[in-house]
Amino acid sequence: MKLLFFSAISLFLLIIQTSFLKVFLGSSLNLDLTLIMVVYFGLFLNYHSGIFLSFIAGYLADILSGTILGAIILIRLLDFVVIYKLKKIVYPKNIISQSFLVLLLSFIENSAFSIYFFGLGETLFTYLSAKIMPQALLNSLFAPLVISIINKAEKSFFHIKEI
Amino acid sequence: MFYWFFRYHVFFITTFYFLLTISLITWNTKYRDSLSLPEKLIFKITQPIQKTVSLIAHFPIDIWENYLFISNLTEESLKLKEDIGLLRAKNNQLLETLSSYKRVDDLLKVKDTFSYASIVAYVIGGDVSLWYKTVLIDKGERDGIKKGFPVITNKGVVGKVLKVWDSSSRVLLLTDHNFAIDGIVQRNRIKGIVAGFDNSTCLFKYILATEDIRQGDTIISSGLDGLFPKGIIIGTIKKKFVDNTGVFFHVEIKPSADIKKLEEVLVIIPS
Repeated sequence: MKLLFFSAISLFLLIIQTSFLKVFLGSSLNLDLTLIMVVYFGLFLNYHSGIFLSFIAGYLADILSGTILGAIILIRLLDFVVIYKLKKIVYPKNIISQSFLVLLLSFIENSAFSIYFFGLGETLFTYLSAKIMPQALLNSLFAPLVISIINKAEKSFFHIKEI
Repeated sequence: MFYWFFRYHVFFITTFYFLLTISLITWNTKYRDSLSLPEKLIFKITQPIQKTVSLIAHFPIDIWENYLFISNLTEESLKLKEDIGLLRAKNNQLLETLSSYKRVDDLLKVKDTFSYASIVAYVIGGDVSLWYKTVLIDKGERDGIKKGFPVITNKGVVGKVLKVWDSSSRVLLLTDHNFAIDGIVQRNRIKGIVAGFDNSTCLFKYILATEDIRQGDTIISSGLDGLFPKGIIIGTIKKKFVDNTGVFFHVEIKPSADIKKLEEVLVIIPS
């Protein structure tokens, strides 16, 4: 039931990301809701559910994008494994930890894309200030809010009481 | 045996998912030529929602722009402001409708000049990833669209159809890295390949440093790629310099079509 719930949430967030947010943020910035979702899976779910849901989130993102089917799944699986490993050294409920993890992953992911497309030349430094950092900051700024909304939705849906 | 499996289950599960993904990528790049059932199903669910959300999202932007304009009229009374606000909002809606009709009309004029059949489509969504430049349009297989069909506006080339579903399609934009089109300089017919570069720029590749190309030159489609009809404007040269090899020019092109603000496009159906 939980897997179905989170799959539906992933799909909903992807629809918001590709339609509503695209209109407001334009094409130069993109609030990566699937990345934040995967950070949530890594911080708050067990390994089996988390990796399965990260796979599903990546699969849905692949369907709704122009990439090769499997490219985003691979990135999301790597994100999940990194988050799950880092979970032991950070406090998952702390908003600074959440923001930091999203900032780190977003920065690495976008830098990797930039190197893949443009190599290690001058363009990387131009993109670092013009695209990669603003993108990472935007994601990290909104991460605590999105994570808290998902957390609240999960609690109210499954009637979980705060201890 | 079981003990060994349970002891290292995390490793096995992780390996399984990664192998599954790599197999998916391999299968997708090598053998696949149509969409799978889950993809079609997911798209059937998401497409109407995306279309509605996109339409709703445009509305407050119009209202907000309208509001900013009105808020400058500080000397007017509040009542008058409200009245003007409402009238502006209504007027804006009408202007928006009028402008939409005008854009479609412009597209139809372009359509009439072609000997090819074509379909007007509306942009209803963007791409999940920041690094891939695609848009979603509201016309699909049932409207006669197929993978690879060229997409243009009245101003020039936009891209080509990448994926097709029943009632919508994904268009790979001119500025995407995976996009390439055969182009020629309109002034002196120098040939090259136009490929995507970043958000608002394309590259005109394989132009020898000895060739005569100038800033402001118009690049048009050559028709040699068998995809785009000959003579459609791609863009104008905005920057050129000799690259590191010293053999070729690095030529940057500004696309003629406003890729960042696409609303309506024309899908050409090749004969």
